[in-house]
Amino acid sequence: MRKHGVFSWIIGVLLPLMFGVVAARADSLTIILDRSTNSSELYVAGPAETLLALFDVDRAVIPMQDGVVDYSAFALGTWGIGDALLQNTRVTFDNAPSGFEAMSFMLHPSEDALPLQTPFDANMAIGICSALSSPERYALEEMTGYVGYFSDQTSSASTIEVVLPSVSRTSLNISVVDYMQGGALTFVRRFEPGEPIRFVIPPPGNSFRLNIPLVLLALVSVFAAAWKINHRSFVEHCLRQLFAKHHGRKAQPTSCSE
Amino acid sequence: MTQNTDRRKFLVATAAVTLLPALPSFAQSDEQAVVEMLTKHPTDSKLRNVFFPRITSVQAGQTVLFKATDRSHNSASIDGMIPDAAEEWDGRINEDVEVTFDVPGVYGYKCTPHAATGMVALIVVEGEGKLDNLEAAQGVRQRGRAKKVFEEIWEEAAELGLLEATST
Repeated sequence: MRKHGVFSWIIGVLLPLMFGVVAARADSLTIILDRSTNSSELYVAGPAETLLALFDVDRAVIPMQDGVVDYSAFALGTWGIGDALLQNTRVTFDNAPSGFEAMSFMLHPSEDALPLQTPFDANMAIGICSALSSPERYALEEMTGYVGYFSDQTSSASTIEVVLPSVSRTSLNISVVDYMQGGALTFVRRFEPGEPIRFVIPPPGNSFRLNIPLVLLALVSVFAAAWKINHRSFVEHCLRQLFAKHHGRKAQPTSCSE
Repeated sequence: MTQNTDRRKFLVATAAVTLLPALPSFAQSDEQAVVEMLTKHPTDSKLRNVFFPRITSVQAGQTVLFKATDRSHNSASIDGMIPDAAEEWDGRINEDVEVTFDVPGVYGYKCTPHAATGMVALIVVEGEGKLDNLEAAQGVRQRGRAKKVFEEIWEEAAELGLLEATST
């Protein structure tokens, strides 16, 4: 009874706590790529301090006053902040410069996280809206940054490579939502502490084709495992027969022989 | 048959009423044209941060009211995109602004914080020499999505006949 209580305590309290600590120590970024036939858009979102650290940009790039973000300075446009964020980062389309330039950068309180599933969501998030006239002011630590970039080059069939100038401080999960004509592909790339942050977003068709062999392999494995389970008794029976014959003994019937 | 005809008339009338505000304003010189500054396009919910309409045609001497319907927007002329003899304007955020256009020509303008996200638009002031600054205006480098939007605007304006010397 006491043993059962200890297990319950471990499962109920310690494990969630451990997972919580691990989760809390992981940074996360969201990247949304919008591939169009005549242009490309890239959106990045994440905790403001994480963004600045990963893009290797000094926090002085954000206008602050008395320890809180100074939104009034945003009224003239914030693409300068966006360009500063990207200046040490390399983004290429098929190894050629992507031509991305910032559209807008915006900070929103992390406690009121905005939806961020589609390019439309992201476009909303980078817009400087009611924040300009809102009386609420926040410290940088309390905010999530959203930045959007535009390029007049298409990337609809390109391999896109992103190389950030820093290494991951803690575990880092980058969620990539790749929008293209006909749908979206979402994947998460995990980086361990100290790992260079570099990843490739494959061209739309290739990502699916690359997965086909894996899917086939998985299916074959499943069928093989199923066959093995169903026929284990038969194989075992044959082996026993063989073993008995070899040693001149009468085979013992198995309980589940064919 | 009568019912079908009535229905058709109703649909045509509805379409006309719906589409009318989307067309450029061809108001007479004694009327005031209105451009709304919006966070959400009134008919296309996928478009955010827009001037509506985004192409306006007025007569020389006519006034345009830039109406701050939604918050956080302003109207400001874009450097290099107005005639040499015209005066620049720079409206305050969240405030209506009225601008009188005395010099014929094309006038590119923007919402200052949202220009790079594509919140730009065009006014064509009819009159002699209205195309004198067209090439210069089209040559101005745009940032971010404004490039794409202005490409669409120039194309649309041309289709509407606004970029012809004798447009109505």
